[in-house]
Amino acid sequence: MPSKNELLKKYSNKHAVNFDLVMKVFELERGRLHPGENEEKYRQQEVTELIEKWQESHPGDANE
Amino acid sequence: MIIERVTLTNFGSFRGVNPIDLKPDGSRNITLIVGHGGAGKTTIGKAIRWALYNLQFHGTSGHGERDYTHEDVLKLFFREGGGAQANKPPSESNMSVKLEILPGESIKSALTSHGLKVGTYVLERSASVGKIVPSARDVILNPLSLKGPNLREVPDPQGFIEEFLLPASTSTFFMFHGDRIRDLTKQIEQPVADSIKLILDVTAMTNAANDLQKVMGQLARKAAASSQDETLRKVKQATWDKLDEDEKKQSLLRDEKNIMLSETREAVRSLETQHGDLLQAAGLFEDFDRKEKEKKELEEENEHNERKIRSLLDQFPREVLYHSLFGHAFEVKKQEERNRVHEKKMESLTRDKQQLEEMLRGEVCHVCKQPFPKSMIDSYKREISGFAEKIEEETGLLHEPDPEYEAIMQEVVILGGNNYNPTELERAGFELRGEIQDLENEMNKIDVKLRKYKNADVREAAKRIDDEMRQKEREIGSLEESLRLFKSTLDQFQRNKRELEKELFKLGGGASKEVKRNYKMAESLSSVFGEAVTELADEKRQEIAFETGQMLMKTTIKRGLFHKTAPVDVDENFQIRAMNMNGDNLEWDEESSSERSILSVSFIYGLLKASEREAPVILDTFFGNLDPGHITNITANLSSFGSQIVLMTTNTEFLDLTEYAPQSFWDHVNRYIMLRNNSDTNFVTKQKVLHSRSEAENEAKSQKF
Repeated sequence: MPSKNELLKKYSNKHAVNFDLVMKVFELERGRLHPGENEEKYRQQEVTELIEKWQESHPGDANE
Repeated sequence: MIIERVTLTNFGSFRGVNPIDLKPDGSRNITLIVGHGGAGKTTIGKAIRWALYNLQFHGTSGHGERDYTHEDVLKLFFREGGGAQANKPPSESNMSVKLEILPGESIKSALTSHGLKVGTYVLERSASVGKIVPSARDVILNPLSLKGPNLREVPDPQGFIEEFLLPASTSTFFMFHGDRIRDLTKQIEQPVADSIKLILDVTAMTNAANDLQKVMGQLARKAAASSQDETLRKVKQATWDKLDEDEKKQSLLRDEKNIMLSETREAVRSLETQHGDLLQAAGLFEDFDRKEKEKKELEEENEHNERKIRSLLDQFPREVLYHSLFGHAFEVKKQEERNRVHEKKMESLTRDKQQLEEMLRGEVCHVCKQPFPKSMIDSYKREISGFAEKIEEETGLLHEPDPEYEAIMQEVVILGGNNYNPTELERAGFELRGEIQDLENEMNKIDVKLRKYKNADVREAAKRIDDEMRQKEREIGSLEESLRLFKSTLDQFQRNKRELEKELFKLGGGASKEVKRNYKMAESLSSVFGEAVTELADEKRQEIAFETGQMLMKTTIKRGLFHKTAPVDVDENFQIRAMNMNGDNLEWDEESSSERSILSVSFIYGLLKASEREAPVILDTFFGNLDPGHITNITANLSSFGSQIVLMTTNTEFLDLTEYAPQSFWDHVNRYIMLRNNSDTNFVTKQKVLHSRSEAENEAKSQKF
């Protein structure tokens, strides 16, 4: 059966998203599993920052 | 993760510093901790949970766990397990549990990417009390300390445990108390299902998809801020806000219903226990009545027996009853011998008397024909008279047969022919009284158990509880239905919000390029995680079902109970079900408790195989209720469960293992930690580490109690 990483790779390819970015998002989410509204807000803020930084350092990426 | 060593200092019955080595040695990955009840086995499990999570363990529903209070921590200082020292205030003021932990292989890259070292981490939780007779308020809990392989303090130890080791909520699966393990085959509650999703990484991916949706929403609103149509933007924004508010309200209501559902299920479980107790009590009442009837019959028999003995005692003197016929005959023989001695004496005396009388006849000498002198005649007469007296004396000593005694003897002989045996009767009476006493003891024991049910009609009470259970089950049905409705409503809200966000995004035609790019990126990422997690959850459910089924079929002793190719099904909420040979849900009967334990432990195996997390499997007194065949089958496969298996067994369980576990099991055992806590050790736990099975067996036999 495909592993979690293989599945993420499969759908990264399907949606043309960089796999490294996907894994970064996953690691960020995996590290913060405490339930709670504040935790969610913090995670969303971190994800937003991660996307912003990624876009800055990868200006030519797809998904425009 | 692997727990290489746990060091208990002044914790429970472990006084002083007690390092306990648990490190697996490659394929020799099983550590056995053996000790009698109260020796300290469970204390080790408790110490590990306290150190890692500060959590107390109450069950497998996930609801029973709670943090240690100061009162609870104070109790940890005390020795438990009996003896004069039990539950006395501590004489030591510091207590700690130190764990030396090696994070799992799969976590190495995550550690490195966070700038953390790979190697053994040392975690220490400690507490102190400042007084000789402390109370809960004197307990000082020290901050949790975690040092990395470079001996540097890790700033957020609890976060480290959650992120890199084993999250608290998942520990339920790996640290078990044997008699609770079967609960895993009952209805799985939401916290347990959530834990399963967490160790399968389903939670992280679901969170990612949801968080990205939220990020999209935020970006859409940011984009919409540049909208030319302010009114439309405001309307859409307000609609979104209203939906969001309604969704929050509905979520709260759903959470309440979920709690109600769990509580109702818990209530049903409690009612089931009460129902079982009442039915058992009803059985005991019946048993009591049966025993009482039996006792009455025995008492009547005993009464009859005693009457018979009394009547015999009335008929015969006691001496007859207590002497055997042989005894009487012996007495008679002795008496006859004595009579013969007397008769001989009498004969001799009579002869001497007759000779003298012959000599004295005519008072003339037979030889010289001269008359005897008068003095001589008087002397002979005195002598003859003396002989007569002696003869009379001897005659008096002769035993005269007693006619009454003779008659009794005759009766005894006649009754002997009719099985008369007084000794036998008395023995029968003794046995009867013993049986009556035994019955009384059993009845007293039952009476103690039934004391709380006195004056209660247990059958009636059981029926009432049964009705109450049915009512609760109807409530569960209605709660489940309303939760389904909540789910569809909330899904609808989510879809509507997503639509509105798209519309808001479209309104923001003039938004910055960055915002638009970020929105698109978040949308793509959300799709990646959303689609991947749906497939992952399905894959993992199938994998758990497959692996659990494989292990179940290897370890069951009733293969015929289960479906041949798909013995196990795992539903969307990770509820595990065994399937019968027709492919329907298997209904367990009461005799299958051992099979249910096997299914539960197979489920743990399935979870460990499906999860990428590595965890030690700690089973506390798991084998006690298993059938010998299950012990053989499960021990043959135990080593394949994970890289570290810790088994805690009683001495009796261990000796059962020596009888039923195959050699392949013993080949994987790396050490035997023998615990003892009794009067020999002043009620302090002492450990002895052995490396051979025979030594451990001898040790367990020597202290089997």
